[in-house]
Amino acid sequence: MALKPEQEDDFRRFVEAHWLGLVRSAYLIVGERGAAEDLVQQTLASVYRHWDRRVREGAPVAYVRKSLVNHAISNARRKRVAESLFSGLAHGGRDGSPDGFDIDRHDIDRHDAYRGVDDRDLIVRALRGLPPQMRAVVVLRYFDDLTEAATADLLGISVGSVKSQTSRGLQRLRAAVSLSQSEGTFR
Amino acid sequence: MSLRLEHEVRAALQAGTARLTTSPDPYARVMETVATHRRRRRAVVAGAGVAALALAGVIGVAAGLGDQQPDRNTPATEELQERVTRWGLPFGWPARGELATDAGFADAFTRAFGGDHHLLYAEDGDAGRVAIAISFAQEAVVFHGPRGADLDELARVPGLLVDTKDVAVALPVKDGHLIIALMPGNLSDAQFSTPFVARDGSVQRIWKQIPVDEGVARMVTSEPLGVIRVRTPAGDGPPHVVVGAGAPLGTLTCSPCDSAWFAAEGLAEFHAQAAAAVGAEPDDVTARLLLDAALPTPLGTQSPDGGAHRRVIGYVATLPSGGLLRATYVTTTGPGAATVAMVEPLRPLPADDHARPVLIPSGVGEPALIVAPGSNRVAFTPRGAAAFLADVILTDGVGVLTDPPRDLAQYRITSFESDGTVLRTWHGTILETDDPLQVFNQYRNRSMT
Repeated sequence: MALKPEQEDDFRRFVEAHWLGLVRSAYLIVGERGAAEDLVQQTLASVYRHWDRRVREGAPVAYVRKSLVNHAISNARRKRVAESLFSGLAHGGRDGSPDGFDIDRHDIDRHDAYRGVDDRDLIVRALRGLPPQMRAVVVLRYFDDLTEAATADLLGISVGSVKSQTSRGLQRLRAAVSLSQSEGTFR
Repeated sequence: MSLRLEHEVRAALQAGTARLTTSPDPYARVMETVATHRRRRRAVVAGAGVAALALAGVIGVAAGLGDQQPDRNTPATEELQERVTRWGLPFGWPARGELATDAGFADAFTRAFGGDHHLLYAEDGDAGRVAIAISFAQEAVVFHGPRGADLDELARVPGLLVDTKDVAVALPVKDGHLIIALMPGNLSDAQFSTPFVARDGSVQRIWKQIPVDEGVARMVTSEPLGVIRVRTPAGDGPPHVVVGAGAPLGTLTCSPCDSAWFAAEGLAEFHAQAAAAVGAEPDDVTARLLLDAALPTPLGTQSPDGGAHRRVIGYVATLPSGGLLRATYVTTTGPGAATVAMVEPLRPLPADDHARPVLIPSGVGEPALIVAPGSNRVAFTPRGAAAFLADVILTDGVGVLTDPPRDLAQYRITSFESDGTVLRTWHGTILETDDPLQVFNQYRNRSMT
């Protein structure tokens, strides 16, 4: 069923206003621009059917973000199953920080277009190594600037879980940076 | 946690996405998908009328047949295939079941999940309140709870990706298991089966009819499910099994993830799962740890700083028939994190073949892991013009084949014990892992942090 013209305009404005922000959030969670755009596209198309009601309920951004993040986590978990069967086998070795976080050196070398290693770039890459939900927590807290309570509500977990996953996520990211600094280069 | 680190992470995430710019016309992209969804729904409505024409006689009923190829779809005529195709994936199917057609429940469901879940079926009876939906992520999702429970009191259990033209679920209820298969239109035939692993390792299935009404197959069975398969004219495979408190088949949840755990609790979990897979009583099944070895160094057994250890764990169970089920896992453990990945599923083998080697590939042109319990060396004898392959030396039953051939059928495989005695010779293709019980479809990799 098509929306009324004013609803259609409203939806168009919403898409144009929030598209880039949603793609950027999705990119940090799924790790690929194409997959992130597809995810946002599918999510917004799904929302379109219920646009009138969502607007009436007054929280379209929160609703879209919740749908997007939960589906991104779900997709990431499925992908992780396939990857984990062979992770480390294909590239001949992995490095580990004291808390067990792995960085695939081979992967970093292969995809790094720069000669130097930039900490910021490293943090984004290291983010992809976090478990999907922990990754989402870090993105929601430090990219989307959600509060702990809002993050917990969005993910359907407790505030305590958000706190612990935030703490562990940051520790792992710090470990990735420390490892880089101690060795100077990944080549 | 220092504010400086938080600031650095915040800045890094902003910088990492700064190069992403907006698409030329995001609204047009979204509306393209909306139009696709509309076309799909229209096709469903049109297809419903066609499918309502008599299909009886078109669909053959197979019962009591042994089946060695469980991943093959039930043969169907082109006409049937076309009708099923017209229905498309279940996103546009009408909701069925007495509760789903209750306006109050349907409205409440839509209010709660409408954007993310498409309601396919709901009932409220002796088996409790059950609703089945397909999620935006294309997963079958089951909601279940006591009879008359409110929507927010129902447990939500996400399940398998739905990539066939039917949706089948099985969940524990008071008197056994409730099996429901939703089919396109008013298809009228469905069966379920549990496997029997014979002494020679072959898998046989006895197919039993499920009563069907208007495209909904439903029954409560007190029989053990095992690695159940549900077959309809539109699909054939494992249903979404709601296991309650238990882990999905093949999944081990270790804590702590050390050798002692795998030798005791892990073995017990495997034992229970092997029995459950074929619907046998645990007391009628024996199980043992087959190997516990370090992943060979070229494949990353241990990180340079000792942060993560990777091991290969193998189990074998002897079933009442004498046939075997074997499973192999690769574990990664380190302080604060552990992963257990099943690389060989609960795999049926002949009674005398627990030592059969298996090759775990890691990618085209990449080294592969060879697992051969009890063997010290594996030799490859080329047939015809096949290239020479060096013997693989194993440690604790595992080794690395650095350059796996593309066609294993061109070799014979011989394994040797530590004193040089020939253990056994096989055709090369035995190295390939198969999954006749379709365990991988129900399996979830476990990550613990």
